[in-house]
Amino acid sequence: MQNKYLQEIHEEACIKSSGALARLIGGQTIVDIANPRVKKLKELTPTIGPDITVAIVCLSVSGEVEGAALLMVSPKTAFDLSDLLIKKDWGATKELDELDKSALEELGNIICGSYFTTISNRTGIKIVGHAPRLSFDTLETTLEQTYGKLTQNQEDVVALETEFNFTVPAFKGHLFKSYFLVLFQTRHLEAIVDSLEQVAV
Amino acid sequence: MTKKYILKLYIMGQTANSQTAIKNLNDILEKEFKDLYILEVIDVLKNPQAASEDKILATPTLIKVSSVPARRIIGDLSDREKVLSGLGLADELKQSINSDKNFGVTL
Repeated sequence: MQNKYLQEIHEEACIKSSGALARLIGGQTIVDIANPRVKKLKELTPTIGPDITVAIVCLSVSGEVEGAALLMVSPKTAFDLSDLLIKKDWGATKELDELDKSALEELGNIICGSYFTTISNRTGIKIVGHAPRLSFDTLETTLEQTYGKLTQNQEDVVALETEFNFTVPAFKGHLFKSYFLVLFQTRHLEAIVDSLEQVAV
Repeated sequence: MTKKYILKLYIMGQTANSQTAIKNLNDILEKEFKDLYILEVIDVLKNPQAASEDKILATPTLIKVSSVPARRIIGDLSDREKVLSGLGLADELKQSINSDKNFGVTL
């Protein structure tokens, strides 16, 4: 499923994230706007292996719609991001301490939060974000836990799947890659799309 | 002397959207503005300095440097109408077509 309104949400959220990330790190960031795909969970094509342990920031939301956004990076990218966010020497992070974890949660909060803020602003739907949570697990396990909080049946859940890749000119040539999912109950995503279409008319 | 449009397209490496944007833009330019444009494709991973100077927030970003006013558009450039109107070229294209019609040129 492709939807031009979801594409617009995606583009706006990416640009918002880029600006917020720039403020967080104190320098320019450039986000690559990949196309979002709406899929059933069993149709996902993760760019990070589903069966290896990755660093995942999860931001759950409630209110008029329930959902969750997941930002996933490889352990190496998590270390690189920590160097960037905490302003350490490049390659200095070999494991994550509490400050590193907090910084990654803030990064996830910015990126995931931008999506929900954009959806809420455009549709008027009330969405309440909860505290972001960092974990280290496989995508498969995390997905089971996450959709399990939304519904009993994974068939009732859809994901907006994309990549969130960005670069920082100060780190010439380095691409920070992540895999990004926004999960909703199917009926909630349909309500969001309906609202977006009504606003556009 | 024929006016030329000067365009810059900022991309990020070999990402799918960047390659799509290059293809879409080339299709539009070759169809609508053949021999009337100069396009510079800039990879932000290889040339971050240029991206900094142009204050690029996201890729792909297309900038029309001239003719004035400068305009920019973000995305994979798949919507031809949006690209032309976003760059302020839709009206110029219409004027160009009308002008050619006035001189009896068949397009």
